[in-house]
Amino acid sequence: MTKTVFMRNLSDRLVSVTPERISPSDAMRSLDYYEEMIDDRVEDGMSEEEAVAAVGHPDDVFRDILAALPSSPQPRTEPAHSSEAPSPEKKKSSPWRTALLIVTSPVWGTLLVAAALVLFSLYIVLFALVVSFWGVFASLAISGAVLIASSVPLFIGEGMPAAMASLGMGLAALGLAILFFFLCTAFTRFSARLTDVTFRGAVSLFRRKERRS
Amino acid sequence: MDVQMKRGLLEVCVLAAIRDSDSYGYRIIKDMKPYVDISESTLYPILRRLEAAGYLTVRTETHNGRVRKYYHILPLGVERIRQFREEWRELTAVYRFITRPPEPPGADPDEAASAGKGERNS
Repeated sequence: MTKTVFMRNLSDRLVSVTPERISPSDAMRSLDYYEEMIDDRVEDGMSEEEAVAAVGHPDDVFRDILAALPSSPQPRTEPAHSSEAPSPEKKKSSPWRTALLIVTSPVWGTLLVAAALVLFSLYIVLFALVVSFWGVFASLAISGAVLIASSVPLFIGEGMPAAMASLGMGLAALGLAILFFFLCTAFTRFSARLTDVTFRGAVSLFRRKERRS
Repeated sequence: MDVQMKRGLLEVCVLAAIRDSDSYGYRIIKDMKPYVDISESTLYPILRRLEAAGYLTVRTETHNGRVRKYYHILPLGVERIRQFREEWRELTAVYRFITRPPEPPGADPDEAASAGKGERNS
């Protein structure tokens, strides 16, 4: 199994759990942890397949994550209870619930739209941040390259001090660009995962609601 | 080993692994390996518990273009290790009591002989 497949499998299992049991931030932390473990094993000389195998099967890892949650109820007993006792009650109340849903739709509908728009605007802000980070990286890299390149004509035209100054500034800019590159990749990864987890969390929320009503 | 006992021991082991210098998940596992085998999924809840209890803090650092979490021991964690060493002293006393050689019985020569054997074995 490749790392990508493992991470996808694990995150699929994590988003299938209700956010009350495992919060998105907890889910993200555990995903980060296992990804770091695989990366470190690969860096230590293992192949990707070996590293993933050493970490364990996604099912086992998922079970361990759930078992380690503070005040988590026994994972096995919960579904059995919910299928026995409360389901007839829910069936009885379901026409009332749908009626109530329709009557109150002007209220929750607008709220839902507002919430979705807020979420969407947050994504735009996040995306803008990512783009601007990369913009800073690109401008540093380009200016560094140009400054280094211009040190040659400066040496011919103006002499040594101007050329050295240009070369120095160019190297400094390139150095900053390299630092920014790592910062950018880390931030891009982080925002991509955040988007993935929250989006799928939101989708799973709606799926459950449909099934219940 | 008893689950509760092992859990407590592993917690102190992890604290001991980061006592001298900050460390990250995989290195903690590697450092502990010669002494105690611990898996990733065992370590993760322990780290979370220790963090929640204020024994350690986590900081994130970029390493080779990716993020790595480093664990740093807090004074409470150092205190926990010290406490463990005290507990261990008590435990060894209990161990000595549990494994003490059988008391020499009265006058029966047969039983005295077997008691002598037991002493030699221990």
